[in-house]
Amino acid sequence: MRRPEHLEFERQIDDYLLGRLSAEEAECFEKHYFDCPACFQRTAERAALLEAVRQAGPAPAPAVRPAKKRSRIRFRLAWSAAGAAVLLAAAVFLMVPRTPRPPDFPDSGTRIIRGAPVVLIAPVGILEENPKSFAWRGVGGAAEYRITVEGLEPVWTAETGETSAVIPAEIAARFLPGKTYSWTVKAYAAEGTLLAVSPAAAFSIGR
Amino acid sequence: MKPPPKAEIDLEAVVAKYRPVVGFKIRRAVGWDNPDWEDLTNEVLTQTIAAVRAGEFRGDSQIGTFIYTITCRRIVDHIRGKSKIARRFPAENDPASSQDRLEEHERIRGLAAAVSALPPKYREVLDLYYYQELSREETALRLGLAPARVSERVHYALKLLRNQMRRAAKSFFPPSPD
Repeated sequence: MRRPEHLEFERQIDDYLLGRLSAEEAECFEKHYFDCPACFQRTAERAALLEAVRQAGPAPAPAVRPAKKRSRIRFRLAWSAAGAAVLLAAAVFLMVPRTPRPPDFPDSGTRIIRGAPVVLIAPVGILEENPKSFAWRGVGGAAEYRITVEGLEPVWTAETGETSAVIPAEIAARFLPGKTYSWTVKAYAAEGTLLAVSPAAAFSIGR
Repeated sequence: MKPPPKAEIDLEAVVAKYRPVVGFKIRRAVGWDNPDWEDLTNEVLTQTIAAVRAGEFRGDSQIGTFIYTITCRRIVDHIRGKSKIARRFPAENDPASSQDRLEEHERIRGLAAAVSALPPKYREVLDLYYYQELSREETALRLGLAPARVSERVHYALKLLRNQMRRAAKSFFPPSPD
């Protein structure tokens, strides 16, 4: 069983790596791992994970969650209201911006930099018909944007110098009602350097 | 009569044990990809050996705390630009350190691929907690879980990654103390 100071240390690892400890707390933390090989290994392992997650980039947008707890409502008259609530919850979930702060992103596959992300404008949420185009807010210095749309598998990728892209009709026809799709945009400078990435946005066809 | 030298301390073992610890602390302070970190690490270890041989380490604290103090002092000096780094030769011309850097980049790239391949519920929690840097409570709220479940999922994700790397016969993580 781990001693109390190790357990306290364990609780602080992420806060230390994410810069959330005060200077005094960070100093105590560091002094501990200088004297404790096991705790140093844990910290180094978690730092490697953090670096890898940042390199892996944003996760694909999650599928719309079925409202498991709501399905327990037993009154028949409540079903229609429950259905509406589920749809509303799904719509809100899909439309909640996934950018609480500018994310880190790799600029060359190794170095992590922080900057303003590309903000996705549309399509987001539940749509009545298949999307015909995608729009986003650009970033300064970008010469090219690369858009990726995917469901369970990649659907479409394209490059453009504009801050919008029209999806070919034959590709757009592949979107299936009830399925959730996510899309992201990366911004590149003229020489090909990655400048910014967007968080993933999700949409589904509601008809 | 001269006090017994602190040579009972196995300096070679100390250097081997503390090189990764000192390097980790220095990289966090000066920037993970700052090429100066290797030279700074060597300087700290050299200073440690000299200080121990000069009898400055009296054994009233742990050797780790002693090295930590030297490390912090060197970092402060470096950041303030008061001292120059004693480079053996330019880092970019050092084939050993280039090889180490390549291996580290490869290691992290492999781990990133394994993270991307995790089942969605683990990938999602790592995304919110480490990529978007939400707190444990915020992550829990977003996923509709109790905060303790967030920590459990992070730990289980780590376990999955360790197993996956073991199967691939690759050592993307440092050896686990477990």
